[in-house]
Amino acid sequence: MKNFLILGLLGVGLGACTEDLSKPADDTTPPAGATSGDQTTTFDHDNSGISPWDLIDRLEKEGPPKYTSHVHSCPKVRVATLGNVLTSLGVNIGNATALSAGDLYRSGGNALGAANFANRIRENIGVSTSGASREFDIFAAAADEIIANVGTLERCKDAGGNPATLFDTSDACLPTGITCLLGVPASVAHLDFCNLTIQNASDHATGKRIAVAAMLAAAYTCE
Amino acid sequence: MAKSKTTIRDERQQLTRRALIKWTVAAGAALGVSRAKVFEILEGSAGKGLAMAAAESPTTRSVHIVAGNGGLAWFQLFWPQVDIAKARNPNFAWHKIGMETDVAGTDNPLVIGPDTPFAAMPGSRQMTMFVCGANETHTNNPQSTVGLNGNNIFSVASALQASSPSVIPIVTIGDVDIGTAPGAARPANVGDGGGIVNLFNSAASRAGGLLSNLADAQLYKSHYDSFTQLNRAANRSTTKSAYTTASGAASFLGTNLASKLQIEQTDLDRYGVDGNTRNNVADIARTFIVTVKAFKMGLTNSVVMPAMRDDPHGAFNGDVNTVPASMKKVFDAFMNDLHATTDDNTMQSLADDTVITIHGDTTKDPTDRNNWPDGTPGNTNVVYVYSAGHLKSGWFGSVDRNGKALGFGPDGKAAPYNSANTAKLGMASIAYAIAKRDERAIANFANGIPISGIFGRPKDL
Repeated sequence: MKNFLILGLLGVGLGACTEDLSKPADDTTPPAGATSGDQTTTFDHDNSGISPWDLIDRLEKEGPPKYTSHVHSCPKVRVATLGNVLTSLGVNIGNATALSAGDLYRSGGNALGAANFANRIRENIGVSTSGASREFDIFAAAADEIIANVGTLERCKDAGGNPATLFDTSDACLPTGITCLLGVPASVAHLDFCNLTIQNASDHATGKRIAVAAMLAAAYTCE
Repeated sequence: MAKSKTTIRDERQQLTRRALIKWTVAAGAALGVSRAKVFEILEGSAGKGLAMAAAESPTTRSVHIVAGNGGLAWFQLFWPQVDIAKARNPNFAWHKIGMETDVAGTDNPLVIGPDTPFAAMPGSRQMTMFVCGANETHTNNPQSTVGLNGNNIFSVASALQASSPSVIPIVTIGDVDIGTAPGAARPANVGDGGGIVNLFNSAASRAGGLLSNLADAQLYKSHYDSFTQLNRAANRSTTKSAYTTASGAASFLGTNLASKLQIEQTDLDRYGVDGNTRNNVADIARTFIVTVKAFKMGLTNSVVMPAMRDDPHGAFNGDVNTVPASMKKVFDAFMNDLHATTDDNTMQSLADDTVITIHGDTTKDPTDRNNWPDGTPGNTNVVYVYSAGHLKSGWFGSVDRNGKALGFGPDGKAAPYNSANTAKLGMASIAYAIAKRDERAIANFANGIPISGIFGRPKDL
């Protein structure tokens, strides 16, 4: 009987603690830096890190790490995949002309984090500054080829076999072409940003190239 | 004493300092995030103190100086053979007679003089010298002091550094030869140190490129950011770091790095380069200046450069009074810059993450300053190494006042001179230093040569 009483009291106590945690009456966390001391103090720790309440809020919205890591990770685009994407967009990746998209792609293996089989190093799967900048450089160099070829690309044709068009005669962005570049239906915001890019560039021709390069870079930042 | 609510909460949520590290590293591994990314996450969430512990790069960067056509002889005046300097013989090729100083705290004997750079560094950080390889007088690209089991040490360095991606992995200057090694990157070659600046401009930012106009470059960056915000997952905690990196890359794409890497007059002043500085010394300074800036931004991992190449037979007719001092200024300024510069990726001092090697065709005869003959006792050669503390400091092998040359064996102790074996051990040691004491990393090249505890300091566990 005595044991049951103790267990009961413990249960009530734990329940109270749990309620405290789920409903914090006020913010009892000291301000950042307030707990920093020195090696002579007994409780020298850094509390300027992540707020546990922010973390809980994030977990509620996004799910636990083991879930979000599967569905929301951002690995870089593999080198081979990038080559396939470029080819599907009408870019000649065998082009040996210096600073052409093909030249930048074929000479950019290390910057892109390609596998180094001879040295037994796997392909880097994280987005790095060197890799992303080289990838974006390739898209920038490829913009002209892509604009010229969109009309003939298989991936850009609709169900009826009609080709896509990136820009109309007044240099306004068109949804069929943008959808082709992105691989997902173009939204109004995409079209608005695209048109703004063209209008704000030093000239329309440059603006169209920048718009294509920026959209591709954004679309292919992650695999 | 009862625990406070905060303590209880921390314990329940496993959000102690240690748990945060564990969680971040585990999440990084689960996401396939690179170590640098994990470091960024840690820095952002838990401060630099925590992040520093996780930020270390797996390899060092490296600067390889190839002082061909007799140029290596000048370095004998930086770091003389111990017994030669101590003999105080006016006929010997040591220009500061009676001014030699033993360096305290080195693993092996080391003597320096008034013109020796890096003199203020502690003994454990001092230079390592390998008497190794063969005399290859009047060649610009000596082979006997760069080979490691059929591979070239410069290429080996590049292969090891492959685990640290950079825009251009290895840069060569002029006609220096880096040979081959499995997994090595192809070098980007430029004519001189100043030419390195142009290597790091993206194709888009160069003259005539899509983003050569600053306004267009800024437009590209801002619209890239806008387009990424249309990606549904762009603001997730698990993708934020990658998008932040990519946004930086978008900015980098339109940045003409010429302005950031450019050699300024203040740089030249710091390196003591003026109208009286010899061209070959000024060339070293210019390359050093750009190298530090490129290392800081993580643009390259390795620079291989020629040096001196002036075959100084007549140095003791007067040049020894000016050239070594001028070189000292350049090398000291380089080391000061390395110390003062923090790597943007690892947040560590570049001096802790850079290995410097000096190779050449001949040191010239240390026992004869008269017309400084090209021949060396025992046909020896020398490689000088700044290992950032990864190798034992001081001399391995020696030439004494009687002209007797000694090499060293696999145990690091003095042994009859063997040019091939000493070179192999020396080059394996350099690889060990670049791999930051990781013997497994160099196994493909060193073929099991043990370095740890013999030539190199054991890896901290």
